[in-house]
Amino acid sequence: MSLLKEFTKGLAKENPVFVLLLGMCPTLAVTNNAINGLGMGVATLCVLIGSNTVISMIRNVVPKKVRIPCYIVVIASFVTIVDLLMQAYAPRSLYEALGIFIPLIVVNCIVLGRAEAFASKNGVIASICDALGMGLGFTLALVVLGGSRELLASGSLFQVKLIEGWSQDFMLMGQAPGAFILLGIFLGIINWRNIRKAKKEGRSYTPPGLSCSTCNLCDLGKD
Amino acid sequence: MSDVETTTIQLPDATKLVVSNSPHIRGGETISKIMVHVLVALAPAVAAALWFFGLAALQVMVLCTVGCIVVEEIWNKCAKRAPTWKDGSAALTGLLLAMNLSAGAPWWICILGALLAIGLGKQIFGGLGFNPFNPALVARVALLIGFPSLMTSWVVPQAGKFMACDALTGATPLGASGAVVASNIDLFIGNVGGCLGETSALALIIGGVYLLIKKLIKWQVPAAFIGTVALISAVVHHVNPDLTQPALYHILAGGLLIGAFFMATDMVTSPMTANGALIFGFGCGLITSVIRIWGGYPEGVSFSILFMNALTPLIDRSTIGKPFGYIRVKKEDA
Amino acid sequence: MSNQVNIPVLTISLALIAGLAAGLLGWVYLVTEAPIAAALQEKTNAALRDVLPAFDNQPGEETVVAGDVTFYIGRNEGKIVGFAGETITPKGYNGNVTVLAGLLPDGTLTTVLVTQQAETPGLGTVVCERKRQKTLSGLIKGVKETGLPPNAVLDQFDGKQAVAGQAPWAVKKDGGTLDAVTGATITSRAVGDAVFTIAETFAQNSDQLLKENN
Repeated sequence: MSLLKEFTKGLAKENPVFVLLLGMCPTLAVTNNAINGLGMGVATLCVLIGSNTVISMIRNVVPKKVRIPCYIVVIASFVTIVDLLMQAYAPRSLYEALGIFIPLIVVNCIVLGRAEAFASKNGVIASICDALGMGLGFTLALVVLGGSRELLASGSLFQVKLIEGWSQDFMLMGQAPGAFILLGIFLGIINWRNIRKAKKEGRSYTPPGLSCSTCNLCDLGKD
Repeated sequence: MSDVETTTIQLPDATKLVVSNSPHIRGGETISKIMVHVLVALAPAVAAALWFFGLAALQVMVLCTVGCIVVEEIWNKCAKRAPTWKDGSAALTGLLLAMNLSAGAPWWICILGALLAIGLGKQIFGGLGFNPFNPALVARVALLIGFPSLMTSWVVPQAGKFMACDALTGATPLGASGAVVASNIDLFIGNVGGCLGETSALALIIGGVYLLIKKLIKWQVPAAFIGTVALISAVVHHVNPDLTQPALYHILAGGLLIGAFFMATDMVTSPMTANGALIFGFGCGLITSVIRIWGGYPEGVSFSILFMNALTPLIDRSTIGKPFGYIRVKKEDA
Repeated sequence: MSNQVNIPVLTISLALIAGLAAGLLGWVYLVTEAPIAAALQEKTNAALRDVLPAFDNQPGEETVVAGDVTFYIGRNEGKIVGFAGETITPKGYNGNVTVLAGLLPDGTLTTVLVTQQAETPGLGTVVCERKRQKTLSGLIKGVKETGLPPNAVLDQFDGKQAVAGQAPWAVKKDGGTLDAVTGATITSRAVGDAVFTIAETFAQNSDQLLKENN
């Protein structure tokens, strides 16, 4: 039961993109279509599963003072592995579209955040569930954002044209401003829903604090 | 935190809050009166657009204006706010948006522009007075980035032929290579390709002077804006004539005049203080010149104004004067 | 927990983890080395297949540099079927534009591709892009992808031929015959220049290219 909870929390309640606002750099940069969003999400998911598993396994062996360097080494290794595998087996166009953002998964705060906040304190199975949930939540957010940008830009989804009369691409949505505008609109909708829900239940809604000291994602701000 | 006596503070109603230096005096102006004056000031430019581009221009203007009013009212209905179209601000936004479009703009560009201007540029921030950016320019820039080829192909003007509907695309006056494609006289009268509102320098200057006489805009903004562009283009042209056109050409061509008189001076989104207005105009001019001469787009007026809009609160904060009777607190006392 | 830092233990554990990670990476590198090389070669070949007649060699390994142009030689059963010239022009609106053009052995241009560019989206990119577009109805009907999507500016070079030493081709705005995209004259000009450079360099060196490699 609790394993299921570890898994589902990443999808909705603690969705890394739409609720915790983590990993903004790849979120804004590579979601110009659904396929790129999916590719980026799956790459991050693989790194998360790998790093969470290994860190959970070595959590009792590694001395506390060098744990962060150790985690970084583990994460960087998995990122490099994913990068090499993608170069070898992923479609070339996808690999080139994601470009520098694959190596940059190393500094994605979701990965280090889950390692520090979860995998270093929990067993292997629970950590894998957590990684799956967070990774799929990230993937879901990226696909939703990428898909809606693609749909608004050219009327297509997964590079298949749905609305065939649409001949003139609305390029704003495919470029950086479109990413910011749509992410803002999505966050607005989520806040609006939360406020409405809170009002119905008769409590006041406080949006999650975004400073390092109020965020419960990791202990980095509390050291 | 602990035992300081707390009292409830009644904040003034944000919709009625006007911030400026004290002492204050109450003016008889209302939003709709100001809007009527601005519409009058735009009249020469509208007439020039109709003269040069005919019925196609009228269609774009009607579509944009009606579109903006409709979007505003639909939004008000959804947000359960009182109707606001009577204050004329939506209509003015629509007309300014039309002035920023080509006469050959298809109908859906006008409607999408209205949606972007009122929805994304104004209402999403809470309506008139809360928008950090000029709504008409938000729509123009969004459309320019969204449909670059549509938004930079102009219709060749056909003076006096109202029914002319053969959309010929002409050369862009502000090509990147620094080539002069139109005479200064043509640019001054408006006999060149371009947006509806940016072609006729004469009509825009008449409107701008009217606004200045009525004291609806600060002279500092257009003066600093145009002056900076003239200075930079003159220097660059002097150093390397191949890089860009001479200063007068830069002033007359493109959207500089409509931008300086009608867009950058928007009351909501430009600084309140005189010094702030100078800084604002200078910044606009600097960014415009840089984009025009070295940038990726041929025209930079709209980008520069939006950019400076974003800096307006900062400019206001650093240039607002001391209130009347204010005594500086000494450092050791503070 | 004591505050004393046991440096040897810290060092050893960190070194151990780094060593294990390095070993793992080395193994993955060895495994993926060959597929990555194949993928890179496939990338070059995919572009070359678009511009050259059917070939069965590895043109990526047979290159000749003449002037500013790199020529890839395409062979079928040992005989030269065509050349693919690649050149980089700095005259784009926003930096370098890389053009790849296929030539028959007699110097006739077959297909032109722009392989790398950073032009203004929607203006300059119109000149450069050949977009494959799948549609929903096409997918349902099971339409197979056919050939290279058209691009009016790039297709106008097909069948053209340059003579050594002739005056460069120019866009209509400069008094020439080439069509340009409205609003993207500079990019059109840059692409035209690059294609001409390839065709003209080939015309100048065709004897040498054909003889020495036959």
